[in-house]
Amino acid sequence: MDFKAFFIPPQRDLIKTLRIMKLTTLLVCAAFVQASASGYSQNVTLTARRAPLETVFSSIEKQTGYTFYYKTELFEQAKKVNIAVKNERLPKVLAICFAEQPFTYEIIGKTIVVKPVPPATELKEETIPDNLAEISGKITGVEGAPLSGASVAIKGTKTGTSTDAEGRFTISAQKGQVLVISFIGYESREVPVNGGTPINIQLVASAELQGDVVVVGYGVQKKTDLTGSLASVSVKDFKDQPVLDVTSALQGRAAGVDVTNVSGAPGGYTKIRIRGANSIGGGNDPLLVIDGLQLGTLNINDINPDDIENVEILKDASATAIYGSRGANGVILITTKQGKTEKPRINLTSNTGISNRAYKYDLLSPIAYAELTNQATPGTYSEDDLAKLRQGGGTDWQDEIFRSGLNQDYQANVGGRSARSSYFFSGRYINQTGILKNSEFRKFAVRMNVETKLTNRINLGVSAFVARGKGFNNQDQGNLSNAVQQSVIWGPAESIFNPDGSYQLFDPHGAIGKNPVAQILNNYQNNIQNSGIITGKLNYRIFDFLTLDVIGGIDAGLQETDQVTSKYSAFGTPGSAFRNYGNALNMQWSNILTFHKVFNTIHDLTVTGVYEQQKNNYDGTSANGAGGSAFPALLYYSLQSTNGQQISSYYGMSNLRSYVGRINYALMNKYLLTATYRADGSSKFPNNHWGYFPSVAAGWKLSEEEFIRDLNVFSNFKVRGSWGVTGNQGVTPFVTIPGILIGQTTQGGSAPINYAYINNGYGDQNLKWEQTTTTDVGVDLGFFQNRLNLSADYFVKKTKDLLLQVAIPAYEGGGTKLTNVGQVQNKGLDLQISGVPVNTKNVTWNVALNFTSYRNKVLSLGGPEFIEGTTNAIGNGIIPSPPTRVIVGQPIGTYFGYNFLGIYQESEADEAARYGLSPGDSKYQDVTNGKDASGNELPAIDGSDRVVIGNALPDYTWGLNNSIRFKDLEINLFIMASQGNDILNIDYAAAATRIGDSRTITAADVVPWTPENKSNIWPSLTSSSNQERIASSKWLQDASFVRLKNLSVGYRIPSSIIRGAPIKISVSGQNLITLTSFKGFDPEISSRGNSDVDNGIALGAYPSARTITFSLNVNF
Amino acid sequence: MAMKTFNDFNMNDMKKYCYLAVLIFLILGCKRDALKEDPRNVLSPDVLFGTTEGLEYATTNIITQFSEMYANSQCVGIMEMGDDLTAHPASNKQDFREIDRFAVSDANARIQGVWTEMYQCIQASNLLLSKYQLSPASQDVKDRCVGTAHFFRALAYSNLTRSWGKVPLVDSFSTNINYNTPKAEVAEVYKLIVSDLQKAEELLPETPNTNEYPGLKPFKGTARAFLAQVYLTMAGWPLNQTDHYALSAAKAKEVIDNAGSYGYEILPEITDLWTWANNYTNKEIVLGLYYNKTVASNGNMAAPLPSQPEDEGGWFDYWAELSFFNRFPEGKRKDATFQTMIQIDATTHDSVPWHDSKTLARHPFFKKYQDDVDRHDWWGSRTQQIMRYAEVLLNYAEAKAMSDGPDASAYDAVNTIRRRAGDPDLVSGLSAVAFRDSVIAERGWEFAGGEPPSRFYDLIRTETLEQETAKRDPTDLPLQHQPTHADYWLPVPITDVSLNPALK
Repeated sequence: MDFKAFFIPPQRDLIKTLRIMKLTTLLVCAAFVQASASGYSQNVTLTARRAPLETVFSSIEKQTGYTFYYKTELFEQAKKVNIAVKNERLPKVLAICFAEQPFTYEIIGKTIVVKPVPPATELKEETIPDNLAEISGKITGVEGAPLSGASVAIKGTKTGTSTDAEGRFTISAQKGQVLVISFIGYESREVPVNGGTPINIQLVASAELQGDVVVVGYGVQKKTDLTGSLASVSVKDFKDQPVLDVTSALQGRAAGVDVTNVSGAPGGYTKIRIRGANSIGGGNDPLLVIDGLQLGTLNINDINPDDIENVEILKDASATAIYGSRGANGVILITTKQGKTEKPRINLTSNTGISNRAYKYDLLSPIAYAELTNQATPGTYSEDDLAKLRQGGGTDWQDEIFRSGLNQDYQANVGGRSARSSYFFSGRYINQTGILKNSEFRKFAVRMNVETKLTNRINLGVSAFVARGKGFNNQDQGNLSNAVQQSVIWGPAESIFNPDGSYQLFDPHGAIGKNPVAQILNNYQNNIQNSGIITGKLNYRIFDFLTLDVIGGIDAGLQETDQVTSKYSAFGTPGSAFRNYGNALNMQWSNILTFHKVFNTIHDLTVTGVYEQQKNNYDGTSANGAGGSAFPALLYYSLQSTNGQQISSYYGMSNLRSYVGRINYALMNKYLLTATYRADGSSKFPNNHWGYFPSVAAGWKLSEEEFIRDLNVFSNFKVRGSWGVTGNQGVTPFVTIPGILIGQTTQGGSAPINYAYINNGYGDQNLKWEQTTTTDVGVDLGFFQNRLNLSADYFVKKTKDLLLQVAIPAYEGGGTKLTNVGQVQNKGLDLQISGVPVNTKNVTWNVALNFTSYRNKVLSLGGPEFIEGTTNAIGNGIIPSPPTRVIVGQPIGTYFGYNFLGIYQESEADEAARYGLSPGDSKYQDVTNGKDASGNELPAIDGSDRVVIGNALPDYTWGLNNSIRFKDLEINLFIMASQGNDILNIDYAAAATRIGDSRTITAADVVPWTPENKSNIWPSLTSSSNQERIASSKWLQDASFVRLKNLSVGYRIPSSIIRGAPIKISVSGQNLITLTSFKGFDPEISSRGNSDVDNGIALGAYPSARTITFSLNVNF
Repeated sequence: MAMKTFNDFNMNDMKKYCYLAVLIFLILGCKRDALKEDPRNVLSPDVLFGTTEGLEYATTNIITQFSEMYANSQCVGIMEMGDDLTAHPASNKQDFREIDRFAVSDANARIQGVWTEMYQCIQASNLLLSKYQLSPASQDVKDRCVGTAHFFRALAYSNLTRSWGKVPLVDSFSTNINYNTPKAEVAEVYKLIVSDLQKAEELLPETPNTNEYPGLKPFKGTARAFLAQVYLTMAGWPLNQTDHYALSAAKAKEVIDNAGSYGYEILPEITDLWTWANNYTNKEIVLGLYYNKTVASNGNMAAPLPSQPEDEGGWFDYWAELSFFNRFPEGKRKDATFQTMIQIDATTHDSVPWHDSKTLARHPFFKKYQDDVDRHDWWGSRTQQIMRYAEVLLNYAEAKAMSDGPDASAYDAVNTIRRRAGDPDLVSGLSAVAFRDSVIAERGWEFAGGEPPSRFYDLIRTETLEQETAKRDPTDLPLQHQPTHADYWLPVPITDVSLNPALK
């Protein structure tokens, strides 16, 4: 029983100790803690009536990680304890426990030493010095908040006191003595007594205590007992960066988690991938669980980042298998804030930012453009035109569509608690104008979290979150012919307006899309999302070892889209109006039974059983009309007065029923085992309802072993390994049922005529779950009392029975069929290093580095060697066949196209002639080396000469976060980087070449081949034989980047300057510097949104902005 | 140490068990059939065909799919191998240029569009043919719908085999996808085309619905007119089944004899053929595809811009070959066919002749594919004339001459067209072959510019592509090589070759 003895500091009054975890019924089960374990470990939730002190101590140990040491005989005099605290600080809890006890305690490191109250006579024996003075002061903690109950002791004596509710203390001490100030969760400080001056001290949070208890699926676990791989992001990690959404808060901060801003639009899209994409057709978005509710309709960015206490990202199967069919893409668990202090704490934040476009294409001047165009087609611009252009005129289309955007973000929250209840309320308002003209986003959100104790055994809690977001023209993720794409290809020599003041609708010589300025100023699209999350929780401690949690919740979205597509945007005049209302509702009902008991002091067993039911449905109605007398004057408000009216409605519904079991077992606090099993029944797979998802994991806390501890190197050393199966059911309902859709045509008349076409002629009745098997080995290391932490994981994820949209040949009707074929593998490494290199009174420096590298590989496609990309083609005028392919042996996101070899020079005239080409024409690799379609000896470059030319996946990504505090000045420097990913830059290609959708060249760096200028990049302008292929290596650009994502400097105004509320002001910059060789608006964006197959395509996407933000934060 | 054990039951504990029991009851009492799908919004083919309207909807779909192919300039583009059309030598017209120069890549987007849309039309027809029995519609309605399906499937295969030769032959609807379908021999394809048209002839209504636009929906006459065209094609390359001339002549004659009841006539003035005023009333149309641009996705993009000069905001997708233009007989027909004055200044409306150095292309353009009401929009509502009665007459003249010698009726047929064009009658006493050659030339002038009877199809079925291409003006876009028979057919699009390498 002496196995923890070496932990004991060499204190003279400590004798042989004993841990108390024997045959003791634990009062608090893990699931109970889940309801409140949102905070740091110094908080305790505990209810007991006439409980033995050992029992109470055991519970405190469980929750805080602190250990009690005492002589057993001491407890013979112990009184039973009555206590009811919720999320209370440890000192206060200890104060209650020791209130009537004949002994006291002292905290040394992580040990609470219990000792007898010194007899009064001893005090009398002490000499009272004659130069005693009254010393007073104030102790504060994080963000300058007063620390109530902090211990202030005179070093080397037993004299001490604690601070009051406002953090103030008074103590009698001699000059020259040293005060030791300590508080749980903070580094202790020693301050010499220099006389009568007040001692005001701000304590620094102790690194080792941050996030000791973590939320896992259907419960909580001590971080030290974890066997799975997870990454945590806490609010303090991003508090110095003004973040408008949750994904910005996660970006670059967790190993194995890739967050990509696919659109820079206000309220725009982000993509999250945890350890790479597994699925080609079933979706790769992680599951989002907020306070126990698995979201089904809302996006992670619907959540207010300021409401978040912390985020856990479950990565390996040991952690995610408990979510079974929804866990294959990883799970993000969000815990929102709860009130913690008796005194309400109010936090007000205001962020105001100015954003600007971060990149501008270098395009030809109007006159240079006109001259180059004349080289290709003489006479396009007359001498008169040229003379005028030399005087001025023309248009900088990029300048005409971009502007400075303004971000305003106001947040307020208040949280507090009483003896039986706690509360947290928050409100937020965002108003953002985008860097593209005529785009904006506004959002209003409120949250309420309330918990109350009905009886000593029953807790009830309700969380409600309601938000309304309204985007205006912010949905364009990038596509052919939108304003961004057109702005780089419309002729710089052209004007916005005709001489008569009307818009110049068509570029007479260049781009064939419509005028970008006319498009962007005349679009009208509202995207309104009303969303709500309501969760109710009941926690019922049936026995001390058995707890039932019932969680019922819904998340719902009411979406409205109102759109007027002006005649300036749509290819079909006279423009159209559209309106859609959609509902989405996700319901969950979970019943969690948790058993927790420690047997023979060394067997710590937790068993969890869950029955759960989820229901998801969506439906909606939309209507549109084109033209008519009321259009566009009445916008979409009077669709009945338009022509060509069309209505449609949609519906989908799916159910999931699940049974879950989990065993967590810890032997001697060293050897850890976790096993889970989940059975999911889904309505989406009519012939294969049930899927089964097992996992096992083991861990070994080496740092608990003597032979490791004797090394005196590791403060934490754990190895762990896991294996498990998760699933993916991310397909739309009814996908297995062949269906017919009804469309409308006219056959020349004005009355609509219905026609019925095959929508899903090849529904696969035997469709089933996609299954991902993950194996993970990891190690967690802590050094220097955990001031330096390292966590590394190697993983192999194999996904089989891929849900795959398999292409159907055109002669079979074309399109695709969703079916289960093939396998994909992801192998990789996650690495997270964090440390506190400097931690002194005036300076602290926290640094965290994460590194992720994985290799994705398609192992099989169930027969065929490849399938075509999901975007069939970019557009006939640009790329007629898909530029991406999923190929066995290659990663998802592989570009498949022509290998550009340069330009045929005059010395190669003979070789060029074999292809019917001339010097000055583009040269592509002839892979098949020379037969035409009929087998003749006729060298030709055709589809069979395409090869793998690149990949959109990075080799590795990393993020580096530095937080430096110097006295009252705080600096945050956050860098993120991606290495080795390619982007097919179609915007650039369209500007630099003449293809279907762009007849002229606008890019400034093009210097066409001539016999004199032997360019090896740019073909001759006058050649009639030159063939441009946009799906070629020529337009594939290295999009590696290192980006200064955030730099902020904040100043906390000391209370010596402003009394009362601590105020922090800061200025920060986002995306200030990007080092990249990518020649486009933004190396982060993707015009294909969430797609993994067509990952890196730059085609008119809304670029990210460079933003300067001014923030004001008041906290009292 | 006092602790609770299982022996310590009291009333409170019993109460707890009651609560627990209630909860367990709730858990188990949930809906049994929760995992059953209820696809309220999915209309299955069987349900569709089980309704009276369903069969009509499916029939309309077939016409809609067929119309897709002709709704943009690809329908002219794939004819650019003919000697009447050529493409922009530079700019962005690579797809058109490839076809014109006999350097067609299998990644060519225009050929892919035609291929895909024809097969979608075939799939729509196959679906109807496999399910129509479910329909409660009357026999008359069923016959018309089934006849329409056969009719358009024949047209789609006819388009495919004339451009690609051997193509995969899919003649029934199945949910099993065949990735190994071989190319069928051309004769096999024609067997299906002929049998489809014969069934259409048998099942379709006797006469057209006079309340509808001319040629909007097929009837017996339409099927006969196309049978004549198909037989004539079969008589030439590659099948060279010369006995089909007689079949063709007989079918064409049936149409000509019934022209009155079918509602067909040759418009007296050639300029009336392509005017907006006649867009919905043109009685020369045997089969027409009708569009309406004011309804989303219902417009016709082949009309306003592709054949307009860029000087006027057009797209330059194709223009006239100089040699062909120069050989084109002067007169009303030439004036109606070509745009020869190019407007070079939108403000002053200054126009110059096509060869003026101020123009960008220095070529005449095809007026017949422009839009006389709406010149500046992407979309128009112009009707696509898939077959004109003029073609029936010319099919007859050629078939009659080749089967039976050029008699008066054959002369009469061709001269009707020549007279309308303002040309003198054909010299009499020509040999059958000489007469045929005159008709082929006549067809060239009449259908120039990529009209569906197509100069290109005439040149390959008569195996004269090489000879006519040799007349190309040296200043026109140079060919990659002089064509041979190997250039008669297009490569199968890369997307399907990728999925089924047997199609390469």
